[in-house]
Amino acid sequence: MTARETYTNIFIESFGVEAGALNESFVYQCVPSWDSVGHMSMIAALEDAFDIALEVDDIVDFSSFTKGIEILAKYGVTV
Amino acid sequence: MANLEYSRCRIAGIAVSVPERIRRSDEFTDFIGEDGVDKFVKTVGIVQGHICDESMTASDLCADAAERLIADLAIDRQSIGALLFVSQTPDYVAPSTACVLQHRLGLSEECLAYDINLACSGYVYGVSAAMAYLQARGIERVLLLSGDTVSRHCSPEDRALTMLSTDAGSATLIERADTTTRTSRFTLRTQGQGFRSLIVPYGGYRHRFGNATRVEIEPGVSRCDYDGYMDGTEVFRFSVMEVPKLFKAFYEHFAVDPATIAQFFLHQANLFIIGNVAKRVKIEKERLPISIDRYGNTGAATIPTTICDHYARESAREVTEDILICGFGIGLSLGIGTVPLEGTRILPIGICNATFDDRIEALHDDAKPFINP
Repeated sequence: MTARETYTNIFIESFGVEAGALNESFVYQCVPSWDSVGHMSMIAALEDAFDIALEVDDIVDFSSFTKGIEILAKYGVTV
Repeated sequence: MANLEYSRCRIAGIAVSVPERIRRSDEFTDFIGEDGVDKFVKTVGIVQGHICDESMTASDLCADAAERLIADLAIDRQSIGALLFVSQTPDYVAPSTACVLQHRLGLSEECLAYDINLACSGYVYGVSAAMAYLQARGIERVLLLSGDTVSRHCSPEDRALTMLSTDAGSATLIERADTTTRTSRFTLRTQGQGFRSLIVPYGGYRHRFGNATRVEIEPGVSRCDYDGYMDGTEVFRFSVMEVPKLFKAFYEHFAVDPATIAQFFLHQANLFIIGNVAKRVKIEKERLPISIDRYGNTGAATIPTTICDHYARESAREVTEDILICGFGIGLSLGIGTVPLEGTRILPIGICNATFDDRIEALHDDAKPFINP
C-alpha cells in the first residue's frame, strides 16, 4: 500500500467518509465525526501507521486533508 | 517559584469511594453511533465509569472513603488536626464543604478545615498543602479529601464532556513521621491566562444568574450557563506542551532521577493526552498505571483512584516505594510531586450508597429565636 493510500484510508476509517470527499475542502469539523475525539483518533492512527510522533503545534495545525499532507512531509512522509 | 520540599511526614493510607451506578460508554450509541463509541473508547479510553444520582455529592463520596480509611487505620478521630477538601463540585457556594465534613466525620472542633477549589491538579496541591501543615509543630495528622462529581459539572447533552465525566471521592491520611528520612518534593504552577479554557461560567458572583435552559451550541452540544465549558483544543495544547515542561523543570530543580520512581500516577484526562505526555517525558507503559478505562475522568480523584486501583485491586495492601503524582487542568493549574509511600495502607475502591441529609428545607424553621421565650 502506498503512503497516499494509507493516508486516505485513515481518513476514510476515522471519519466514515467516501474517498471522493477527500479534497482541499475536507477540513476540521466539516463532518460531525471530525471533532476533537475524531481528530485525536486520526492523529493516533497516522502516528502508528507512519511511525512518527507529531509535535503539538502540528497536531493542532492539522486542519484539513490537504494541510495534513504538508505536515507529514516535515516528518519525511511523502503522501 | 513554587518548588517545595517536605520531610518528616508520610502518607499513612489512601481510600477511594465511587457511586454504585456504572455507566458504560456504549450507552451513548444512540447519541454518537456505534462507530463513534468505538472511536471514543479507543482514543479517550473510557469503557465505563461510576455516576452518582442528583442526591449524591463529592463530599458524600469522600466521607465514605474517609470512614473506611479511619476504621482501617484504627486511628483516633480526635488526632486529626486538619481537614482539607479539594473539589470543584462542593456542596454549597458557601460555606466550605470541609466545615460540614468536619461535623459529619465527628472530628475535633480543634481541627482546621477549609476547601481548596481545584480539580485535576488538586490532589497534588492537597498533598503538598497537607505536608506543609505537618512541617509546623501543632498538627499531627491531616485528612485530605479530594473528589468530584464531574458528571454533574457538565451538560448531559454536551458530547465532548459528558462521556468523559464520572465521579469519585478519596481520602488520604498524612501524618508526622519524625523517624522517616525520606522527603517529598513538589513543583506547582499556574497559568491563569487560560482560565476561560475550562470554566463553569455562571453561579458565582461574577455572573450570579444566567440562562438555566440548555440551548444547542452545535450538533451534539447543548449547554446552559451553569454547565461546564471546555475549549478542547486549548486544553489539549496546554496538557501536551506544558506538562512535559513541568516534568523537565521538576527533574532539574530537584535532581530527580526518573529511574528511581516506581510508578507514575498522572491525572487521567484522557488516554490520548496521557499517552502523548508519557511519550514526551519517556514513561514506559509498565510504570504508567491507567484507571480511566474503568473509572473515567473523576477530576480531583483520578490520581488516588489510580493509586488504589493499581495497588489494591484485589485487597488492601501496605506499600513502600517512591511514586510520582502529576495533575493538570482547570485553572489552568498544574503540579507534580514525588512522594515516598512508606508502609502506606491502600484500600480497594469501595462503593458508596450513603448521602447526607442537610435538612436544607427546614433552614428557617430550625432557626432559634434571638431571645428565649
